[in-house]
Amino acid sequence: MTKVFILIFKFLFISSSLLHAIEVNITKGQIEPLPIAIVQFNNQSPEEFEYSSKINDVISSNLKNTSLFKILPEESFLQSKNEVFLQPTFADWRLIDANFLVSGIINYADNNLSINFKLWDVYQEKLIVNKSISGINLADWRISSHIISNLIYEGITGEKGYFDTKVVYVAEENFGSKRSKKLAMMDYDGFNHTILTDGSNLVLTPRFSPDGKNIVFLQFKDNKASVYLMNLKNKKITILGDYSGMSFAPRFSPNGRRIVFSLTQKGRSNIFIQDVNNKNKFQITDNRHINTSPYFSPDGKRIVFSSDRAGKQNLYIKKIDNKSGKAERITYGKGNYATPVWSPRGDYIAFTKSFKKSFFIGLIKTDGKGERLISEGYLTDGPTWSPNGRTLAFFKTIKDKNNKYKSKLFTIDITGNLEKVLETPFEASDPDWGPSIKY
Amino acid sequence: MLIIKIVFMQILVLGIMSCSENTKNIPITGADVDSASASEYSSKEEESGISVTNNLDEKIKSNEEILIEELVEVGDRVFFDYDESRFKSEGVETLKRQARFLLNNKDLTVRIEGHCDIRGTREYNLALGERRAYSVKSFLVSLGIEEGRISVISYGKEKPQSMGDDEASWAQNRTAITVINQ
Repeated sequence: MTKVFILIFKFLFISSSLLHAIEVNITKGQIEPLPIAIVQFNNQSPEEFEYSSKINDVISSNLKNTSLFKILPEESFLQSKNEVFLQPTFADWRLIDANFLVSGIINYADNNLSINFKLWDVYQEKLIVNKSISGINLADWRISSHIISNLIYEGITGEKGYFDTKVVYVAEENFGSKRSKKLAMMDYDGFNHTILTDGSNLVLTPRFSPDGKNIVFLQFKDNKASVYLMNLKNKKITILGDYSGMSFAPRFSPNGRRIVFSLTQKGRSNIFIQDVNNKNKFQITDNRHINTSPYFSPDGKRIVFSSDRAGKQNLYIKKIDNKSGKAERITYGKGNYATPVWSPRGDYIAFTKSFKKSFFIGLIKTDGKGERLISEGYLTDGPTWSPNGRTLAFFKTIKDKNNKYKSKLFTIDITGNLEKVLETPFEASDPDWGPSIKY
Repeated sequence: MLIIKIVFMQILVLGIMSCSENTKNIPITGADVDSASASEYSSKEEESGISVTNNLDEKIKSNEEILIEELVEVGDRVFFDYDESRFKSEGVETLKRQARFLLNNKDLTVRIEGHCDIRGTREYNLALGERRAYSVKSFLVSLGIEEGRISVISYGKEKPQSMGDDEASWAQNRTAITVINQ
């Protein structure tokens, strides 16, 4: 079954890339959600009942969020819940078309939870995952639910889960000259929302370090725009790009020791790489044009960036160890290409495209082939990859019911399916999807 | 006299700070200084048809405020076509007047704020706003203003002057504004 599932994905990829013959056209594959039965974990005390219910809800909501799964309702279950964990009656589960089945047992003692859970492939009658998690502090029940969700997702799709990740973004409030922008951070599903800055300075483009412990961002202070670093633990802010020109569009290198960013001089914007610790820097581009939105390849050896050196903005790739080397242009379609982000798998680059009066989120292979556009809007920008390279988040300005433009975060599957709003308490822009935690 | 002047200055600075960032809307104070009594009398004024002018108004204006108003009269901004960093030709006369203004007020330093309309990505527009501001700076320098008196900053599309979503508003937002440093 797992293989079939992956094959469906592969087919979708091929079929949708064939459809891109028309230059500016949204392409989408189709996904049939897989029915899965998640049985509430066996419990014996009121505490165990409470936490097994909450954990069950989070797992169901995580898997449902991906839109790859259909969560079967508990009322349809035929086998009694307590029996499943020891031995499922597969015929009963096939009758309600459950392709996969999850069951577990939860234990509460000494203020700690421990969980043993199993995942079966119903049609193959095969146990795929059998894991135990122990020493769960009650306060960590949510993150534990995310870890279990990851393991289920990995067991079925063969791809890493991303349910334990965080997103930073710019929270926007009010209108006109009162518009305020603050950095904010939340779990990928919108929980544990926190505001990181007080709004007294204009802040933009927060980007996680690879370990998720710091962010770099642009801040306007004393009539000057520069790249700053924030330690997320103590919220301490220090300047990184302290130059006479404006430093902006920062991103971390994959090992977290460097940042790449743009620096202006005499109206030009060129790309530099700088050590986070000793601030030594070297130059990557050197021309009189706009070179910006640089982003490292997953191996850290190349960067992709946007440049208007050929008139319109296009995407270029350049090796960073060869300063005199030529940047290879990879986009040749109509319109402007901007804000490229390299897939963690290395094969695709997502970007923003503007053409006539529309904006698009698109994908292109690193050799410039297979361009396809997956989302369109009045204004879209800032794509960012989920850590497994399966999903993109971005922001889009849409009209609300009062006909006012509102900026919101969205997620979309790379097939171009399953586009939906990622709810935030404020208007939102510039999302950056953080790394998975280690466990 | 000097002390009184400083007090006036402070009142004015407060007045300037409380107004919006739009340099065009510098408040004529006086009313601000004594707004409670002004509103008390306003209804009576209407009834009797007698108009009372506060003659302190003119004296209260600081040099700084007069200069800001003067710059607005001279023309504090030039405009750009879509995705262009060379200002529109009408801007040439505006910038010549700005240059004369700066030559007449040699102790002033200014910053040029570059702005863009919303139809571009955030990071590209920061770069474009910078290029616009710099093109204004280099023109002023070519007219004899010392480079060190002019700094540039780009706000990209983050501080639009006009909030509409039509071409007329976008045109207002593709601008570089000269602002006196305080």
